[in-house]
Amino acid sequence: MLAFTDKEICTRAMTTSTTVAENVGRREVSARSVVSIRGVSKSFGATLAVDRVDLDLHSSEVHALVGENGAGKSTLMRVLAGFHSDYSGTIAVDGEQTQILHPRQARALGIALVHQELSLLPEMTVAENILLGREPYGTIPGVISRRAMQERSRALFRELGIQLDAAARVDRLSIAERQLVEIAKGVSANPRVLIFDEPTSSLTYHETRELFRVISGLTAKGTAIVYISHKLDEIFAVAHRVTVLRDGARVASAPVDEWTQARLVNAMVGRDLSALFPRTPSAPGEVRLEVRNLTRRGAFRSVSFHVRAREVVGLYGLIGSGRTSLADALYGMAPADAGEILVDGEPVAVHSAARALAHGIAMAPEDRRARGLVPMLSVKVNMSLSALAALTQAGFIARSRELNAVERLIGRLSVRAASHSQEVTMLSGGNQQKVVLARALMVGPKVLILDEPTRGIDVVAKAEVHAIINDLAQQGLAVLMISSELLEILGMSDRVLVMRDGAIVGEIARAEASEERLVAMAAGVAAAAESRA
Amino acid sequence: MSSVLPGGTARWHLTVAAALRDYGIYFALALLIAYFSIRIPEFRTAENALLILLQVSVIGVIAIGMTFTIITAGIDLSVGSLLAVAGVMSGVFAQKDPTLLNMLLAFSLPILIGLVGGAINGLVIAWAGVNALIVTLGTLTAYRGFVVWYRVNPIYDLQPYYSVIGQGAIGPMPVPVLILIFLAVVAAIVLNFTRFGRYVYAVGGNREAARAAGINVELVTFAVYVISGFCVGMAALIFTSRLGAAQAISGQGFELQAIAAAVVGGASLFGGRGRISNTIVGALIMGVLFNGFVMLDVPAPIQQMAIGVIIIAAVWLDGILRKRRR
Amino acid sequence: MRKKLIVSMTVLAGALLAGGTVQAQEKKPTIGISYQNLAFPYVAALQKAAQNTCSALKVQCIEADAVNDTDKELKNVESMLAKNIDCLAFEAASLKASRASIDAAARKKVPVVQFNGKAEGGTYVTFVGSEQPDSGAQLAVFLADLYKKLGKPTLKGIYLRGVAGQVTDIARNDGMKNGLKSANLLDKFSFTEQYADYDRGKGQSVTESLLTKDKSYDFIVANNDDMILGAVQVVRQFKLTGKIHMAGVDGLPEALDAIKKGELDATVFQDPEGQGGGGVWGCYLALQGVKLPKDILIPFKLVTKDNVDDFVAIAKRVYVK
Repeated sequence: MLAFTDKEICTRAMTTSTTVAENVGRREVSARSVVSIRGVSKSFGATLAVDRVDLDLHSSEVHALVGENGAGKSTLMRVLAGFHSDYSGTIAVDGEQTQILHPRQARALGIALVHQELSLLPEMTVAENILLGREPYGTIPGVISRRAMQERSRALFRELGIQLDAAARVDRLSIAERQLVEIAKGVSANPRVLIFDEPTSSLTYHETRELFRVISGLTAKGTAIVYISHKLDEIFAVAHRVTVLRDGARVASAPVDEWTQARLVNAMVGRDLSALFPRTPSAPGEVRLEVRNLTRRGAFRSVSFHVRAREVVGLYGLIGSGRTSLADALYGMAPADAGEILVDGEPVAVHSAARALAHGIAMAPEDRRARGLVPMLSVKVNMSLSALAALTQAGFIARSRELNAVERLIGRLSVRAASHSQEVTMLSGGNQQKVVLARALMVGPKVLILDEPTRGIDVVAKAEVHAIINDLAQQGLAVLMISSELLEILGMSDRVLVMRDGAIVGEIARAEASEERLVAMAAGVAAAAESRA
Repeated sequence: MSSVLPGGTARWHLTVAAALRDYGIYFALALLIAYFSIRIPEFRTAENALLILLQVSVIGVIAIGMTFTIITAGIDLSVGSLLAVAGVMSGVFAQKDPTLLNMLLAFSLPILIGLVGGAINGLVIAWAGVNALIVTLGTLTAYRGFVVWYRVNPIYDLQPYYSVIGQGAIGPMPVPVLILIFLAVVAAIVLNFTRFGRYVYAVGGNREAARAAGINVELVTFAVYVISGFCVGMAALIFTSRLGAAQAISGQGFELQAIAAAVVGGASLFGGRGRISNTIVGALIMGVLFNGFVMLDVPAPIQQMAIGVIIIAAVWLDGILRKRRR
Repeated sequence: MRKKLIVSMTVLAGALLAGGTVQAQEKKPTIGISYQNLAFPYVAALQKAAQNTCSALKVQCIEADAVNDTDKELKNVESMLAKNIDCLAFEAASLKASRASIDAAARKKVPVVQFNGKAEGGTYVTFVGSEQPDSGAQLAVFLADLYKKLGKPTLKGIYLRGVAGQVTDIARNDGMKNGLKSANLLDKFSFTEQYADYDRGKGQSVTESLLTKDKSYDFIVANNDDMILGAVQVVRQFKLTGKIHMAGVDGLPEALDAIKKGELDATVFQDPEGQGGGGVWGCYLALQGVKLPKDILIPFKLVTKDNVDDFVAIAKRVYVK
């Protein structure tokens, strides 16, 4: 520990000296900017998360911050928002040097952060959350006026074009709606700098477009926006300037027109990523999974489709369209009320995940942390959890067989872990996702259901997971892939099913699929001509 | 020089931290034993070592079952009351003439009652989905009410054969100690080497993920309460036989002692973590404290304070060591 | 010192006969009885004695168990008052915090007779019970006799106390120490004192640990029978029966049996019949208009092998099952 501290002190000393010099040279630039960050570093113990980064935020500009997971984007922005007081380097706001030590101080300076992790109080109403700590008083002094709070919130929603009930309790809202509340909360403070950290990870296509509209409204009023996202299409849609971070350091910064998707990926990863969507379709085989008139009241109705061997079928739809309920029904987590599921032509009854697995249907569920992994257990135990029945003799686990199976999958999916006994939560998001995949694969399924297989993982891991999906399909698996990411659906699927309001409303072959067609189908409108925000 | 040393120091720190994390509780036990051994000559005798083991056997056996429920993020508060029910029922037959049937009932009834009492807890918790704390708080009262209603006065004058479980010995080893060791070994094997054991950890670590992995979460939940009930039945047999009397008021506060043993042993009340060996060491720490304090003639209120402080310190230290790893 | 009346059942019965010529009453009175906690065998014995008295006197009795909770106690008493009881026989759940129940009865002008434990404050007709220091004094009598019998210059012993800070425990301790002091013997005794919460298992564990350290104790005394019976078990296992002299307090049937068997030297008999029955008697007499003294004291009695048979009969009547 002592050694690290020494090192840290050295680094601090160095960065401070360089930034002072740099700062003198760039005074003209920082005079134009709202926030000017110079040589900011922040380390956690031994790891240097942010390494001498310079960044200028201008009013009326959307500044996208991109990079892989762990590149330091969020940490840098948390420094700016006052969450890490022990940073080094300088931050100037309106040309005035300040030391931001506390979130309260950042707020006073007009810097607001829309959180990536949801930080709302679930027991309170939307209005109460938005105005938390700034509650308006009514006619009686000292008593908070509920009506005033709701009126203010409604005015805010009108201004932002958000459809939300200000009096609703937050725990009644969907994840996407909660995200909108977070955004409204950030905007309500009237900040001069507003930071969005992965704001769209749980938003639908339309909600994302809504957000872009809100953002353009804010920039028109002069707000400086920081936009952190993994989704490259969003970056190109919303940003004016893009800065790429890698391993904590700034590697490039340029106006958005000077970037292409390939260049951006290249800068983020530090090398060429041959293909983000390495799908090489081969002739589909016999029908593996067939679904006939599957219905669950209140979730989906009369759903019929099939998936063949060696085929990747994409399932697209807005959040709430019934996609995840359908997946849960196929996997036995929430069985259907009526209809038939057939595997290899044989009708099967799936009342539980165990039955589904026994019939050859496996699933990598949507939310890794909530439903995918058991956090305190090792990589090995997580991987073999579904397959234990086959690895058990008289109740006892056949340890060497288990280990073999685990090591094989670690190799096949190139899971990067210190060892199979490492606690699974110590892995990066991408590698955690691979562990979830491995758990589904170890049972040797015929049908694999993937629900949002690359949500929240960085671009390299994304490419790897896509490559794995491609391999699996080529080896004869029938893959049903649910995704909200249009590029992923378009890039990986052989066919796309579109769901709306609990029913399948269309099927499009790969060749005919386009972003506009999918969105229009999913939303139930004739055509969609979305322009850049 | 400076580039070699920091790495070495860091590694050394990590090793010590890791050792403390995994075996800190063993060090704590060793420290306590060393302290009392120096202070009290009579403490460091084989006779006293066996006595301590004997004294922790009842709580130890209950704590084994408790560890299972705690690993699944549950808890069993009803153990003390269930012990009284099982003990009194056993005592009823242990008092009667030693016919084969009566003997059989005296030995098997407590186990059976433990299983049934555990199954009632398990059914409601697993399938009715009521919170374990609430359910077992309810049965804590209900089981106690039942046994007081059934038999308020102590049952004594138990037949001589009945003392074999609680007062007998094989060689130098008291039978309760042998039972404790046997159950601990079996429980450790179940948790570490069987599929069921894996499922117990998985259900406690993340219930939804366990369900998504195809585990019958309800059945596993039910099973841990039955196991807890079984352990209570065994403990009731040991307790009643050792005391030579069965009382409706027996076992009050045992739930807290068993939970303390598991928690001092590093089990997480949030589930997913816990080891039988550490639970036993947790129970031993409290047994050593009790025995040593009594021998040193430390007043009971001071003992209670010390034990309370040690429980909090153990959990706090555990949390710190765990955080440091991140 | 206040005027105290020491009576027994026969005296009470006599008092009834004296004023009992008013027998020709219109209707049967109803007596409400509130117990501290029926999970304690001694309280259950009080209940049995009270029930026996109820049927002997041909009065109607309603019972309630406070389960050691003054809140529940108050609710019980209120609902009994709602049923129009004529008198409340009251065993306080807490000596400090049971006043609310007594006051509730007073507001309804229902007379209160306290038995076994006397709560602080409130107005009541009479208290039928025992002075707890008296039980300690009886233990002192036992120890003084033992001192004479053994003829050693000093005696060393274990004193198993009940719950630390609890009123009865303190009273018994004071009674014993004061008894020895007034006999000029206090310096002849050395005590190793440990609390064992009135619990048999704890009494057993504490005795085990102490005897493992040192087997040369002359005696073990305890503030109740449960703890001493736990100790008896240990002494038997250590094969020290007869070498270590033992005495408890309560007079549980099991303790009386142990005295007969020679495993226990003595116990101090607390009379459930006098106390539990006395509560009902007190109510009965009060309703008859008999003027009762403020305190009717049921004495503790030291039981040894010589007089044990006298007490077995009483125990049989009140300790059921």
